Amino acid sequence: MNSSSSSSMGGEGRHDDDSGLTEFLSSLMDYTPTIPDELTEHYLGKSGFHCPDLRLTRLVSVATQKFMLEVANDALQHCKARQAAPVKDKSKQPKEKRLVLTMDDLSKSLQEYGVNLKHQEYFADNPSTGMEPTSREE
Amino acid sequence: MSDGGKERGKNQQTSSKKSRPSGDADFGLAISKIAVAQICESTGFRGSHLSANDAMAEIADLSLSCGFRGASDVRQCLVSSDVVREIAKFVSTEAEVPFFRSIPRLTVPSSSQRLHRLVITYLIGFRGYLHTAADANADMVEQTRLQMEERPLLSQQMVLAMIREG
Repeated sequence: MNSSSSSSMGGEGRHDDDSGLTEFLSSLMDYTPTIPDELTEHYLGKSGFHCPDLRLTRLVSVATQKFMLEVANDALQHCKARQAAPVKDKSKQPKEKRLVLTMDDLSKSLQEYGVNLKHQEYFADNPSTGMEPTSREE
Repeated sequence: MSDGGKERGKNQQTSSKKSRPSGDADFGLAISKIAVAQICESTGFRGSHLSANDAMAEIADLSLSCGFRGASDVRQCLVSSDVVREIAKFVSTEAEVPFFRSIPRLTVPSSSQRLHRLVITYLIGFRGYLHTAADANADMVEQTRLQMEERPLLSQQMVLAMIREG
């Protein structure tokens, strides 16, 4: 009896999971992600995944959009913190505090997600540019 | 709005040639840049440096291609996964920001002759095809080749759409 009850509970649990999954996938059709379905299908196709089920395509689009939104939100916090910091030289202080996404804020945000994004400090014509003359001769 | 800086000198041409992507990659990246800009605007940003927007678009492309680690586990149902739960919560709470315009799909021509011409136009891009085209007559091939010199190749997406339409 115990085994039958446990198996029936397991069956009910699976039924709940299936209905929950179906409901979740159906809800994706009511939500239009910012990333177009065509773009997601293109990149899924490039990876070798062809899926006629639009719900799965939407799932990937929504997951990517969520990730990008989180990164952008973190970058926004870094931007606001930087603008709120006191500026020593008031002449350099910008007149209007416009929130602009920069590489500095983006790289700080992405570090928390394990993505290392570094912006080059400067560009040089050759490796010895900017070096001391003595070290250049060596 | 400034970008991240430009390379100067003789390296500029070679680096631009090396980093130049193919046609369909340009298309995908361009769409990604617009979608990323819309996402950033929805968070509260009023502008973006070009380099930052490009970097975000490349990361979005990687996310679309490579996926997310830890999202799947064969020992449990997908719905009980934390990643999927967070996505479900995101869908129910976050406001929609649709893409600003619809992306037109390639319409395959109904007549077989036009379809034939399209296929040859695409295949001419491959070297040596001119000598192996069995069904095309020489005049049509030559005319199409001359036209192709002025136009870019059909994108991979357009060819796939043509093949699907059969």
